[in-house]
Amino acid sequence: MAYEDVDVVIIGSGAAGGMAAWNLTRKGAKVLILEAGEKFDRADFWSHVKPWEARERYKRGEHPPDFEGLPLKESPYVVEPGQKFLLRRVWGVGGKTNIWGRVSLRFSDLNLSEPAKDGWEIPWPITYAELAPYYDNVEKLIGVCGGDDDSPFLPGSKNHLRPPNLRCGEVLMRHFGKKAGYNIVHGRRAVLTEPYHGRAQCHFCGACGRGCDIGAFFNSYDYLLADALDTGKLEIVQNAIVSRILTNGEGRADRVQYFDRLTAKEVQVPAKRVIVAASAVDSTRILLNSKSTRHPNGLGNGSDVIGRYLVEQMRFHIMAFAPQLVGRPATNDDGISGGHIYMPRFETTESKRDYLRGFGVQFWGMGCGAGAGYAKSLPGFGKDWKKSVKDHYPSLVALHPYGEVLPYKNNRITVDEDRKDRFGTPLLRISYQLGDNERKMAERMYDVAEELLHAMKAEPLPYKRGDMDELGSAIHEHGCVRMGDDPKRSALDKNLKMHEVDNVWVMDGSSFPTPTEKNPTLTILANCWRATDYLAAQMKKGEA
Amino acid sequence: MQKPSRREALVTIAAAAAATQACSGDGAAGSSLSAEEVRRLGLALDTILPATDTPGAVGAGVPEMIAYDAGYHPDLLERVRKLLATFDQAGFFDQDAAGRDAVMMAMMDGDEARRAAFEDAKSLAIDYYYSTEVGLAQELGYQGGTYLAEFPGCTDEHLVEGA
Repeated sequence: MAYEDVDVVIIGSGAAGGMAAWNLTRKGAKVLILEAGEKFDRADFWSHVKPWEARERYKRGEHPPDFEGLPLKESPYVVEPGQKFLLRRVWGVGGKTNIWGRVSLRFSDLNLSEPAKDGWEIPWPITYAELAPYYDNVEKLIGVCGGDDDSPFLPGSKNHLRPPNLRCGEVLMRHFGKKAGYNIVHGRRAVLTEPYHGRAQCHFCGACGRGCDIGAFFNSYDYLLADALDTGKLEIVQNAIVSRILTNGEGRADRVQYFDRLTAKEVQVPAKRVIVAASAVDSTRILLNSKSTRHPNGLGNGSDVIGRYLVEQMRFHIMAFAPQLVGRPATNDDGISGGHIYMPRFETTESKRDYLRGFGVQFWGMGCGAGAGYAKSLPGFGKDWKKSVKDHYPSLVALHPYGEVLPYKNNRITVDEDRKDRFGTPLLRISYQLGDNERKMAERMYDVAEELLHAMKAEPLPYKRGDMDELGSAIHEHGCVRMGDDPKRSALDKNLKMHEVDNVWVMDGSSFPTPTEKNPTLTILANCWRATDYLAAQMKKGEA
Repeated sequence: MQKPSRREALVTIAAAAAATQACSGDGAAGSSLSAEEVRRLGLALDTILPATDTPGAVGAGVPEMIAYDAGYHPDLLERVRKLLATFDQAGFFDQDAAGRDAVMMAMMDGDEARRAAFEDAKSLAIDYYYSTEVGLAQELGYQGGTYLAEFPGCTDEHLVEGA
């Protein structure tokens, strides 16, 4: 493909980049994707390798794909001294969708309207009614399993594939949750629990986190990019580490600068239009590094919004032994890997409480797993202890509440001019802390978790109230390039075009003003489909 | 209840993963445990995880696995030698089987250093043993990581009755 003929250059090939390429190519646009890594070969996945087999493979010098190694090697991140932030990225075709958690929850009207109601930071510029048809589209395209529940907190869907059967711990959790007054529903995951669109169904090996050997869960390559490539209108350049978007004298994007990871050669590709979709943090890094006379604070950042309002979710984990399951025979509890149930948020905007927003609860790690770390909490040693370890093996239950973190101006990503990658591009620096609202919400999250465990008379493994998992560990970074109606307080309009640069769009999770308590990928896909529908229509009219 | 870190207790697969990834054969192996150290490590680990109707830590080859890994990971080598030294100071290796049980019991409730050595040995035993086929499949009954045409889920229809 002659690069001069390309209609749209997309940076990144994950959920947003894949959706943008799929939707634009099927509407006739010529698309070039710049991807920092390479395609992961499904044949290399260790999908059914048992722990003891893995040991032998390692001894032979074999390794599974290193999904997360490349960005740490090529573009390590810096965290503000005294803080901790775990940043997990996947550079490679498909990005994080190769190994994502697959939880696919619709944001609700409650989620999207709440900032406008409670007044914390800016409102979302889009409504649930605008997104709903695109949720339908995405669910029908990729296949999402789930139940028939429907609530103001978690809108229902008529598109769900059948939910997987529940593990014993999940049956108990639902039963006792209901007794305690909580509504625990079937989880919603982008996993094919039945054959769908010619794709094979999941075979319940539980190895999704190592990549699926048959593509039975949504990933950007198999479900989007492969079709886009088939149109002949897409080219993917691999090993293209984008440093900057370059602009002309009018401040419009006209080239994208990348460095070939293998040759270290600098390349500049012409760009009529650019879609940035490199994940929330790397998109932000690229925009902040794209400084010019017209954009001295980074591309489209006259408002000084870009990089600010970084939001993730906070979460913690409690494991417990369900007494009803102690001493039972072991079972295969792999299922579709991860939780088969979910407890939606239950507090409305108006609910009486001393914090804003809310939380939901996820449940994974139930039952018989591929290890026995829990044994360290069982006192003793010797034959009786060994029997106790075995007896407790089927009885593990686990709760993982996820709470929304408010957007704060000083939770931000900047670029560090003193620390650069091997191509001279400044590295990203993260500053992120929780505030009083989160501390108050955490108390309630612990109350509810304890209430659920108490209801089922479960014996928790040791935990400390108030502890949170390492910030960043939810891998749900948002904000930094948020959309909004006010150009002074947001970087993008409602169709994800930059307020200040009329040929650049940012379509990943960085565009979200708030993280909500839910996993973002389904909404990234739906919103990207919506925005690229609009973009394609504008292009057709010659207005974009 | 003893107190592992929350992260240790969280994801059961993590222990297995840690044990298996520790044994990367990349690079050249350095010096590791001597045969006598492996024997002593086996005495300690087999006291924690003895043979029953399934093999114990020694029967599962755990001391040799740790020795192999220690050849690539000096921090593991140092860790093992430190705990062996503490066990030695407690007189553990001078005992017969019944005596070793008694010394380990005393260590479990002993001063900070001995308690820490006991916990560390127990932690190693758990991470390695329950990542072996003997520990995970034979002893615990792990059935995962395989193809299923359907996932049956919980088949006990009466589970919540009277629960």
